[in-house]
Amino acid sequence: MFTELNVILGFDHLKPPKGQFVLISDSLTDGSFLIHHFLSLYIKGGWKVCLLALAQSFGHYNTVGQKLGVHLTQAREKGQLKFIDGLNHSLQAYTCTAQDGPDENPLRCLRDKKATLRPLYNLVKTHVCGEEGVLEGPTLLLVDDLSLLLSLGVPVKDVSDFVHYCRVLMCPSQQSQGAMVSLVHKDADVEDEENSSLFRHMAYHSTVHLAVEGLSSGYSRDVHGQVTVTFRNVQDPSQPQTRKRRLQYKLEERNVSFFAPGTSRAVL
Amino acid sequence: MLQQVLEGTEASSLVVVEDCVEHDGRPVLHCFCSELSKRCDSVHLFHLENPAEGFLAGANISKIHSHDGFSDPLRWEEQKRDSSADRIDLTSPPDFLGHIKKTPSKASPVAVVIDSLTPLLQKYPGYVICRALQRLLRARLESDGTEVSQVVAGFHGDLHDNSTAAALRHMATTWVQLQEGAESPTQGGAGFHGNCEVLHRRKSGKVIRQDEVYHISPQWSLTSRVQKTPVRPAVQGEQEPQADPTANLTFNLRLTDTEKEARSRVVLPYMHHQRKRAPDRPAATPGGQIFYQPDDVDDFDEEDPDDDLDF
Repeated sequence: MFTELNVILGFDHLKPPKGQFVLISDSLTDGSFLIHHFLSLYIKGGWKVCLLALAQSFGHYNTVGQKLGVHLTQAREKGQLKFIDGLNHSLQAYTCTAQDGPDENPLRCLRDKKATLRPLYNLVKTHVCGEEGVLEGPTLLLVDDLSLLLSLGVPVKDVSDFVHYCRVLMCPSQQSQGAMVSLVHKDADVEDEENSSLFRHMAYHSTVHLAVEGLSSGYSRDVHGQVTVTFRNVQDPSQPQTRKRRLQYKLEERNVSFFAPGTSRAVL
Repeated sequence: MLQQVLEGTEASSLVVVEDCVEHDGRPVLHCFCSELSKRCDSVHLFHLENPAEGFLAGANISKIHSHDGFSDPLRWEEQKRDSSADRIDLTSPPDFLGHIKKTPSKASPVAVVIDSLTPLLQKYPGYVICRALQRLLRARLESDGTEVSQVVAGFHGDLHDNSTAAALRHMATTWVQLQEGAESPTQGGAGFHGNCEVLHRRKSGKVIRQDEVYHISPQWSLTSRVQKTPVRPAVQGEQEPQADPTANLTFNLRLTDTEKEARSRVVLPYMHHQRKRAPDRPAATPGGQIFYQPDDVDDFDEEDPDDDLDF
């Protein structure tokens, strides 16, 4: 499952990414299949996952997870998966009234302009860390997705601070136990200055950038798009600089097959 | 030029390394950090975007004092704060010189490396940062006289607007703009390399702008050389030969000389020629005459239908 991509990135479910911040960007297509991939990779390996879901409900991830061979309901009950229902919190932030008492909503910055995403960060921290307040074993923080925070009205600066703190928590250096994966939309046909600015901020923090886009030649039945893998923040200069790799992919029922450009089974 | 500024042969008080998403400037900052730790008595590293360990490889660690702006810049982790380490707090305006003065060792001159200016510029307007940098550059004029020999700062060109970049560019004595370069042909691929445009202002007033290629070895030493741009001829000397449309055809489109002569003598219709004009019919109405032959069913009346109009 996703074996070719795992080989290029250097991780699999026995050797999960550590100390990495993987940024997934998609342009005019849906890159969320990579989010499901990382989710199932970590669950299969038995590692801890915290999923901050702003785009979809738990049922959606569960359904897709079942196709990929993981049981998210079970993982959630066991405590392996911590699910933060961003959809629900954002709805409550908009629909709560003043009589409901002190605001405990982690997304209260949606109503209160003076608040930042600090409550959300504190919630993530309680889910991710053990009693001592440090990570126990390889842990993954999945954020799906960051552009939604912009759409909800959070300024780029606040999202950038939140991601900075999450990065310090999960993967400050390449030897840390944790890893972070997040998705940002980067549509090429829309002149969205805020989204581009957010993408650039995230790109500077990231260690691996997976850019998912459609083929430049248009729609094809056998090749659904291409993924460009860029390794950033390379610490060790003695490693050869294979900075960029390009792969094409095809989405199937239970899997996504990756292959080098031009070597699709339909072509060869 | 970049190598000379790095090694100190060209004096430069403020070096700004501008990078972009496509081309990371952190390796260059790392080289500056390790080179300055060999050259100067003390290096103050203000790291806001990466942990300090990322800059210490290959450097003389005993001379580097790091000021941590990475772990907790906004004080969201109050209870975990380690009061022994010096932390940069973005909730108050930046004061680089204050941090330097707080360190116990009073070595002078000091060098300063800042990675990078972006988190500061996000919180405070450009002039506040410029003022803090200016105070750092003029530290020697203050009462306790700490001398700052060189300040190297990183700057992400694609995250800030042009006015901030212009303000910093005016302050900087050396501005290094990094660009993606072609793959280095000589080295196997180890190390970092790229192109850069260096704008250097000397104290004498001379401004030097050079396009250079730089290479960073695995031991974090940087070498650079001026890139020779190919000289283009100023004027296109010869026109490209016009493509011959009659070449490479299966049929013959060429004319012999007699045929060309005959062609030049062909009289085109509808052209006025002196000898062709009929002499017996001068043009009564301009534009020619109309000859109308009525049919049997035509009711051709010679009278003018407009005669009875009386305006």
